[in-house]
Amino acid sequence: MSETGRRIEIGHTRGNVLLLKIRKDYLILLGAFIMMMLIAGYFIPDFWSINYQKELFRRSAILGILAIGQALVMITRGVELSIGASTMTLAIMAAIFFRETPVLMQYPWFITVIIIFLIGLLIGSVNGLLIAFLKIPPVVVTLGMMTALSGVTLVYTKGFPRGGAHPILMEFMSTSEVVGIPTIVVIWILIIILIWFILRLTKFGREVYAVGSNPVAAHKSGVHVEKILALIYAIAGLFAAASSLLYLGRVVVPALSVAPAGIGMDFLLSSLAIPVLGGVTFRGGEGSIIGVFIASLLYGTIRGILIALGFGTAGIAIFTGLIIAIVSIIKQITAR
Amino acid sequence: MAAASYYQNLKNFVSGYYMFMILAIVWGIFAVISPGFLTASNIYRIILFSTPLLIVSLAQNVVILTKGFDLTVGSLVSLTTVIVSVMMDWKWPLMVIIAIALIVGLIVGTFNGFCISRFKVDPFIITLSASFMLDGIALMIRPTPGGNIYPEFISGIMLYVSGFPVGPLLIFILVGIIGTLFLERRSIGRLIYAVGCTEERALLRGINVRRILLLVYILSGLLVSIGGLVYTAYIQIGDPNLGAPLLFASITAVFLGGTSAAGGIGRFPNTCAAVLLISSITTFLFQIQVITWYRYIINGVLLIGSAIFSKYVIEVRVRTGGI
Repeated sequence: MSETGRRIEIGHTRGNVLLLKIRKDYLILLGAFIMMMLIAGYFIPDFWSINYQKELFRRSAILGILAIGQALVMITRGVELSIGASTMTLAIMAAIFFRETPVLMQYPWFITVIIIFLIGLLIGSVNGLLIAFLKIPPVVVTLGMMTALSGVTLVYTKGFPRGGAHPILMEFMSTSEVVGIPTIVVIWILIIILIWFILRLTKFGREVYAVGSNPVAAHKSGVHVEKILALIYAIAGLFAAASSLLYLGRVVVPALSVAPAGIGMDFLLSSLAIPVLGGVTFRGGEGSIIGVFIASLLYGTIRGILIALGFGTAGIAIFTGLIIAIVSIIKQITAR
Repeated sequence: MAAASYYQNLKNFVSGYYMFMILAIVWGIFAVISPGFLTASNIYRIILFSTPLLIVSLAQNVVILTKGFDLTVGSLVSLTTVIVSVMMDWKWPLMVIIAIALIVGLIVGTFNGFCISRFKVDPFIITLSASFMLDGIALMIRPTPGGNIYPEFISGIMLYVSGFPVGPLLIFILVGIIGTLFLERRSIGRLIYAVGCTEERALLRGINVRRILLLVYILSGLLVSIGGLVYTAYIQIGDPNLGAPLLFASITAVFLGGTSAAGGIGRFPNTCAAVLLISSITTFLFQIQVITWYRYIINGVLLIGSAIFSKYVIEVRVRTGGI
């Protein structure tokens, strides 16, 4: 009797503590976000105008959706370094499919969208299968995938910008609104709620956290670790596809800039920094999707400030590297 | 009995130097496809081009032996070429430039090592974020390739003997021998293997694991900046983008060389042969005129392939008592 009672009590207290801790994290994040907004208001003249805010949210949505994929992978103790390259590759493929492929152009636009999602799923699945079933370290697999995808894109486009976005995508990313809120932001919030629901309230979600916090224990308690891992990387591929289409809708013709290690480095940087800011750690098994949501807004604001201050790609890279390093070290110190 | 020990010796020899045999087979295949491949001058060129990669691979090998990854190697090489070229534009004395380049490597290595050994941050996060920062700094200092390298610096590394660069060959042999002796004959090398094998047990044996880890990353930073200096003499320019392929190639070489990502396994001579193999593939592709962009794809496939090789050939052999 007393044994059962105690167990329930412990569970109860732990639940409470966890809830409080998460709320404290959210408060810190929100505080940082509001502070950054005040700083941004000082540096950027029209920051508080409704148009700038809409633009900020649209921009954050692209990176925020990509960051959900990365966050899911990071919760399972992995990392997806090819997510930037696959976003860029898919954006360029979509651009060519929309404007330069007669076979696909005779069908409605959503056929191409479905194909892009399928290719994203394929890239993610290859990563997932190599990592989950062949047990190769995620860093190595995704690094290899990153450079291979860069090569595929460069060979395919011969290094020149090609193709363009479909008008529907362009409208979707610029003027389309639902009761004054950009449609993309509404969809983003719906995705956040869906993923939050899946992670917190379904068996699959609990298993994802279990795999991340201790794969051996998860395996011993009957979780099919390989299946979960493979699925998570495949889902990350889907998020990369979604983000690539949104990016295409925004820039219309994707520019190919070959950064040192491959294409799409900018996406990779943001996709790593946002979950880290949002409380997801590379140790796995912790962090929540709401934190990622707030962090993408925070990161979007910080980027806005950096760009307004005249920092280019290089400055953003340095700053993002610093964020990841500092937050990881702080997490590591406070965890002990 | 004698036959058995003879067989055992042969087996040990094969497993110790298997990569050289694979290299010979690959060279044979390339020679059949492209007749100009197996000439003395071409082989010499392969060794020439693999010297910077060998130095960087030694750094990567030492780090991977301790279950880590050093993702800063590519960015640090880029940064070194950029810094050296900029300071040479300012006409600074050569010794000062070399000293500053080495100090930069030391700082990066110490930062990595300190965060990893003191705060127990996962090596790949800290080196990844450091590589982002280094890339950014290199791009800020020199956004596009350029700069002039002192002729005496180039000739000092290349050591031309009647128009023939001897320096790279000497460095290659020197690094190969020093690396092997350091890892296999010195006590510090054995300690690195011990830390990589099982950190907890090494700790129980009284090994100062923290100090070894710190040393490993400092050594890696120093070696990579030396590699960057040699690379600068090769490309004779400062370029913020040129280092990145070395990152992929160095990890590939270490895995092909039989070092396992699980740490504590692997021998450096095999890594030397793997470096030659990678340079041979690059040279061969250049000879049969494959566009540079395909090399990204081949790099990626080789990297993943080498990891599978390391996982399934090496680790299984070790478990069954080979090597």
